[in-house]
Amino acid sequence: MDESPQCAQEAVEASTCFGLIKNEAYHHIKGEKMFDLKQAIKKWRKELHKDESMEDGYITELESHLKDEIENQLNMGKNEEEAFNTAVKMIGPVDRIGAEFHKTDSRGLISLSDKKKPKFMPDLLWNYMKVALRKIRRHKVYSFINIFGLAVGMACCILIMLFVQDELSYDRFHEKSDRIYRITSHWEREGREFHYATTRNQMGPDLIQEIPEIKNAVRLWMHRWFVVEHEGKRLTTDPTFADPSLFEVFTFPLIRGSKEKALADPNNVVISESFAEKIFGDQDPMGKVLTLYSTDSRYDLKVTGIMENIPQNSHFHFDFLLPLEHLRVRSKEKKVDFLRHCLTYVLLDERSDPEVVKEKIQQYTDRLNQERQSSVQRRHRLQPLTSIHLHSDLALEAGQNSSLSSSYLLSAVALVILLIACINFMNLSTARSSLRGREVGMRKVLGANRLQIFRQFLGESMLLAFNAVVIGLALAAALLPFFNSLVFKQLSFNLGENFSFVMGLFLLVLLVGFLAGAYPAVFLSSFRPVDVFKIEYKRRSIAGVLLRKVLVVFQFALSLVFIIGTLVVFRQLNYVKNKDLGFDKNNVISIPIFKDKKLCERPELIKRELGQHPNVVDVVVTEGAPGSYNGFPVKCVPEGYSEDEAIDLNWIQVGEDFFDFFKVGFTMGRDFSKEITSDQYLSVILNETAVRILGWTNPVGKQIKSSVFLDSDQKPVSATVIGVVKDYHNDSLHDKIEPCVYRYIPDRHGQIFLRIKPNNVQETLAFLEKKWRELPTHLIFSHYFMDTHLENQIYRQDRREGKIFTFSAILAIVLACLGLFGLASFTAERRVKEIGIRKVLGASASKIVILLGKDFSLLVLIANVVAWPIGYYVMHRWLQDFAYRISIGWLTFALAGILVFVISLLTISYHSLKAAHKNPAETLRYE
Amino acid sequence: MISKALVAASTKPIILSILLSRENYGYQIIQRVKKLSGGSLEWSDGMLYPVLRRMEKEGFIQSQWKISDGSRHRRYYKLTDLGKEELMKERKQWMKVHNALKKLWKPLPALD
Repeated sequence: MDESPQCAQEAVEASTCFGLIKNEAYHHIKGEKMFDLKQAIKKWRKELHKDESMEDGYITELESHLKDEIENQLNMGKNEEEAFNTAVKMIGPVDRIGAEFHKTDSRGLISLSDKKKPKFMPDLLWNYMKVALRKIRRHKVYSFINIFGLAVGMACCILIMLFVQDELSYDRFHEKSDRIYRITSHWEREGREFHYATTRNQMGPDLIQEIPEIKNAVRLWMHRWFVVEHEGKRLTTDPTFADPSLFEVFTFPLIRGSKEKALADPNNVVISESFAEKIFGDQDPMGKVLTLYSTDSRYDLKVTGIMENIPQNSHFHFDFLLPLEHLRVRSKEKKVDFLRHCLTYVLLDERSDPEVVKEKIQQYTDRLNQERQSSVQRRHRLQPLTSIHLHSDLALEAGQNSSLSSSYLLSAVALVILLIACINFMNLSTARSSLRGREVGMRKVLGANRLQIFRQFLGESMLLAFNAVVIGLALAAALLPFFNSLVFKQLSFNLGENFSFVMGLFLLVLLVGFLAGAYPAVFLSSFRPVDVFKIEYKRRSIAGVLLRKVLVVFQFALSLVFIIGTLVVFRQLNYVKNKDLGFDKNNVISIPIFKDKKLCERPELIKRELGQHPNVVDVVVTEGAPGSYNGFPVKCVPEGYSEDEAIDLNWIQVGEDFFDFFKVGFTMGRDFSKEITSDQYLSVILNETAVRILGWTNPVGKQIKSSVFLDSDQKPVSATVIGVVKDYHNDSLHDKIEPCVYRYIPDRHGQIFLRIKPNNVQETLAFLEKKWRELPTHLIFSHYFMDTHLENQIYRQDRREGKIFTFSAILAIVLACLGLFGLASFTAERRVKEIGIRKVLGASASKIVILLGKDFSLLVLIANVVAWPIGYYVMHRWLQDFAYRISIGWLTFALAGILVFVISLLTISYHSLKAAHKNPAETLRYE
Repeated sequence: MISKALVAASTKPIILSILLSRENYGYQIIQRVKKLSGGSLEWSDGMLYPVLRRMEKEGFIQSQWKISDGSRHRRYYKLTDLGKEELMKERKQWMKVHNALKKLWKPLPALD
């Protein structure tokens, strides 16, 4: 109250000397020729804004005052410039007003510092930097643990960022990607649901006519593993057939040829740049002729275009593109049905609503169903092109799609590792806070407030995080090839081009700096100078120590979960590898031949030719390999069952001597025989599971009726069971053994299997390749070993998960131990005098090691207790995916626990031993 | 001319008195002061606002944004009950001073 006259007094003082104070707004406008009142006011207001004491409300109020005065002056007959200048003068010097406001607003605070404009950059910034850098240099071990730990965590995050970015980028390179949709089909029959990525072949062209919102459509169909030849050079590729509109809807730039003409003729072909290079080398491919071998004939095609390679982030890939018309002409020649279904992509109008279009498609389909009196009610969905890669898993997809679960799994792993690194940072900074206590105290005495200290420490952790991200980038670059092999991708990073990635890095630095630095900053900034400067400074805050322990337990629990995971995955994979699958997969070479119909029809020739070498023990030509081929389900009516009780059995077609070759034993009856002609038409063999499910005690001689065997009137005919084979794993161990029915077909099989002697494999292969060229086939000699194929292909996903678990377990335990190492060294340092006294009083070195190790051991034990149930739960769920699996067992947990215990003990022991062996005379010298 | 000290001392009662009759905004307050004193009470216009701010903080007046004259944003100040009490106190004090001076200076000397 008593200050208001004083304030007013100053106001008067100000008014008397305003003439001396130059007004900046006035200066600004003086130089200009024309006086612009609005501009002048704007500039004046800007001057006010520069003053931090001026809140927005004050400025608005002063401005309104100024305008009132200007109006007043104008009414008195002055011109705009004069009016403005007078009004400004009357209001008085801005900085004095600001100072007055500052005084008013800062009243009540303890410190009534002189008014000073706050700055964005703290004055002490350079000092902060200097101190931070000095700390990094002087405490190398801690800096290393912190920066290296954070760098490892960040490297993981960087890799995951790349991965997720790539996953999300699929199919976005098409210019019209947001308007392209795929039509999918869904229906139900006999209680079973069918979901297909394809539609009826005519759907696309019909819809362009029917629905105005659909601007364009492309039909696409892919064939697999066909051989293409040019002047004796052969390559295997996946020929893809499409409407010429492909180039209008999708963005596939042509390097040579024109979009309009490239697919105009049925015998045209467009090849990719890399394919052209492979088959033509340096020659100019345009106009050249390529021979395409289909299963039973050959076609000469003319190269009319070369397209850029399809980016890796596309949900379909092809090197060899033909017009769909080619297929139509071919089927007409052979008098067979033209392609029945195909992938259909449509381009919608910019303004159309996909929901409306979907409804219209449904109406159209319903009408069609009615016209044809079709019993199956098909439904169609519109799938946005960009969502196919992550969200689509239908039958007849154009390729293997991904799902969000891998992104989630990897992100979780990366975050956990980053978290462990951040915890190290938090623990080490708070544990070592006493070393900074004096600094904090001194800064506070000299006038720093808590916020400033907080900012200083947060800035320090940001600086560390920035250092870490630079190292993290280098680490990520080094790890990228390994990571790529882990996730089956070809990722790369280019900081210059990938703006969102750089933004991501920036956010990562902020996040890590904050995550790791916030708590230590709060903790350190809370120190009171009066405590810090006491000689007997009791730093220990119970809460801080407890939190530190909790965090250590947390770190070790996470590491333990990873280690348990690794152990379980590897035990399961080992089980898979060594389990007797019921057939002999060793030393078996497989050669697929199903793309040569004529060769398929001559198993005798194949057996004779390839079986000549003494190292080839046995040869069989059959449909699919056990372990990866499970036949197809067919409704069957077994003897003693009524028509309504028909059940699904898997039918598997086998060639001659199939069971003999794979060493699958018979429990009853006999094998198929070439001599008995009825075996081809009316005999079947069951597996044990089928017998069990049918409930037959004496199956040999019983009948099974199904649509597999038909009489001349296309009526189902019964076949007789002639034998029962032992169960073997037809599919991977993820699935249960299913009831199977085997049927004998002497020829027309797609795969050759050869059992060879394990020695001189290279020689045998060379012989086979030589013989292969003499066979009447266009196929290229390509082979694989059955055991490695089963392991690498069927369990690819599982092996990958195993690798991810191992990798994360190693990182987690290394980081956790680094943190422990830092904490142990700190404790040993702090207790050096205590240890000295203990030694003087007779404690042995081993006693001291135990003393120091006790605390940490307890933490690791608690971590075990926390981690075991989590590890059990997670791995139990993982194992559920296998129909045949190991039991987790307590041994796994014990092993993981002992492993971590030993590792952490070793980590601590370095410092414990060092401390225990110090000469007390040295440590106690100054007491 | 009135001395600075006296101007400063009289600021608060003058503002409170002006606001007693009705709510008002800064520019008008200044204008009234100038008119009442015939120009002998000289303020730097801008300095009024920190004073108003302080009085508001002390609870004597209350402000409210309004739009008047078309689009001009103006902060109107209104006397609170506390402000009225304060004005009464001030008024008593000023009257005491006034009366004392009046008695001392009676009979009125010729002014020249």
